[in-house]
Amino acid sequence: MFVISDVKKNYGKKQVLKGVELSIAPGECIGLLGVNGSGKSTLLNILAGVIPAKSGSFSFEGRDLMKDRRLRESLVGFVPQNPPLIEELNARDNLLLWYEPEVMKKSLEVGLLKALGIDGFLKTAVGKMSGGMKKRLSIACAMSRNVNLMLMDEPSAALDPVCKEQIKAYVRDFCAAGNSVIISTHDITELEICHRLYVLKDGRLCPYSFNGDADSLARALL
Amino acid sequence: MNYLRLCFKRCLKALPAVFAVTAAVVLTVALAVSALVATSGQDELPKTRVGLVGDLEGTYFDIGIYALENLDSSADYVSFSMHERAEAERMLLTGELDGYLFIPDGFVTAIIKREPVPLKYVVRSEPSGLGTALVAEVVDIAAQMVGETQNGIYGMQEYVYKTQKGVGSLYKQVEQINLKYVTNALDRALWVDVQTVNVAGAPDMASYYGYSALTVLLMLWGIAAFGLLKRGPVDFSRFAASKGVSVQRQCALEYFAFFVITLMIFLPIALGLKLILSGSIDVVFILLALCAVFAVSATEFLVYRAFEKTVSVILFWFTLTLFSCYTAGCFYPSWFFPEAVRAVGALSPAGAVFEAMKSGGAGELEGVLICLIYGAVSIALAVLFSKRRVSR
Repeated sequence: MFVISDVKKNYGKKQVLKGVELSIAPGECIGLLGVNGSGKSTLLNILAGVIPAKSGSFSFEGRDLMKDRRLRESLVGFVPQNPPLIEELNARDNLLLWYEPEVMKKSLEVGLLKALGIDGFLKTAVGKMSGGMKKRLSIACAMSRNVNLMLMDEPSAALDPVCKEQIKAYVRDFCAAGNSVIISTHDITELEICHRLYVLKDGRLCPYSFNGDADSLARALL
Repeated sequence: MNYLRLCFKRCLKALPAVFAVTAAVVLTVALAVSALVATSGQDELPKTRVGLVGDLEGTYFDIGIYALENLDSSADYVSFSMHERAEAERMLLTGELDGYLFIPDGFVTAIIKREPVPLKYVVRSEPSGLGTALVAEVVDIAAQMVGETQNGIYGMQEYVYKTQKGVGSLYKQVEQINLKYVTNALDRALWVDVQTVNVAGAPDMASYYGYSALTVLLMLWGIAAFGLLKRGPVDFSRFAASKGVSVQRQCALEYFAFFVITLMIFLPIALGLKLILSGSIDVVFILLALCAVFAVSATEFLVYRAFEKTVSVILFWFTLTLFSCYTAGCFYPSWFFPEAVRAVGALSPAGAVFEAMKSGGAGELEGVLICLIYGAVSIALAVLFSKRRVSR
């Protein structure tokens, strides 16, 4: 189980996170909601190790992931909002940045890369890929190690409905394998795959139950 | 190592476009230099054109003009032409003359009578270049020459009149004195043998402009190489940080790839230039060339990390290149500049590099420290800007 305990973060005098608390069990998908600027991306970046927290802890089975960088990298994968890809290079070169060649070859034959359909556009330059292809490639890059927790910052942003369904299907499969996901989202259609929802408001997480009404969701966020 | 390989691969993919831009820049510069060199021969140097207006009649005047145009050492640089006043003014305004001398009535007679009247020289109110400034020099020299020549002749005449007897021999002796004195005045260039002594560490003009051209090219490389220097997406930096490639390491590896490629291009050029200029290459020069490339490439790297938009970077760097190269003395020898300008130029990126190249060419290590400081500070600031970008 992953545990986030009293995580705080401020930018100058502005306190963005005022003590975030959350536990994530294996196989769970947690939805993170909030208005723009509420701190969702900040929280995900802290959990991914991109930026440091002011205080607090993030642990797995009692082991502090904020201090143990290698453990965190082996357990946590991060898919940022915009594809973290080099436009000038093709899919293969982007993957080789994070995969060992032998591991990548095997994964393309029978593993994750095959499941994501990466073998179909391996030599395509990133600049020429569609949004869905880029997102799948981003997930593939994030999953270069067999992580247990995936952090996804608005995974369906700018994707067509077909691609959104593909991403949702992949998240379901990932959770079904006993792994966990935290999704930051504005997309109501993504909420259906989440086991629990939280609203990040005034720097703290508040549990939320979505009843299908977009208006009540909007009121809850304000 | 994967990240470093990625950086090199990315740079190599962008190189063809970078070379195309660099070739265009080098070609333009080479054409300009060729045109300059082609017109730098002595025979083709434009002379300062001085018009002569006023009382232009008289044997003495004709002799004087003949002497200036054919015998005097200034004949290579100044040409005279006679005009009416209105024509001379028109030619002055259109730039056909650099200035004109107005000879007042009775000028020659007044000199003979030892009561000289002043010449007037007229130039445009806005100087059109060195030619206009030289006119004042020409007039000053001419006036000085006439005055001192006549003083000498008058002095000798007085001596002859006092010490010699007989009008016939007296006349001939005065005439001989006049001729001898005028000849000496016209051949004054033979009185002084100018020799140049090389100051230790100072480059000759060919080396000076060779190193300045290299400095300018290094600075312009920051524009031509935008494909190598432009930042990747911020989400890529964040992603790489989450994968264990810290922002500091990203900066270091990205810069290292750029530095290596820049070195591979410019070090052979620098060494080739040194070989042409001095016939040899020494370790000191290699070290200074490395430091110079480090300083400029690090500064270019910093600028691309500090600005958000590539267009802003290119505009800023172009302006900085012009200002920095000019104040450093790349386009015009810096010893003509005021001390404050030279101080600013020496501290600018181009100044640091130029000084390093010049001192390296002389076998001295003077420029190493400032180049290393430039490089180190630039890399440190680039890391700070990158971290700030990632954490926003």
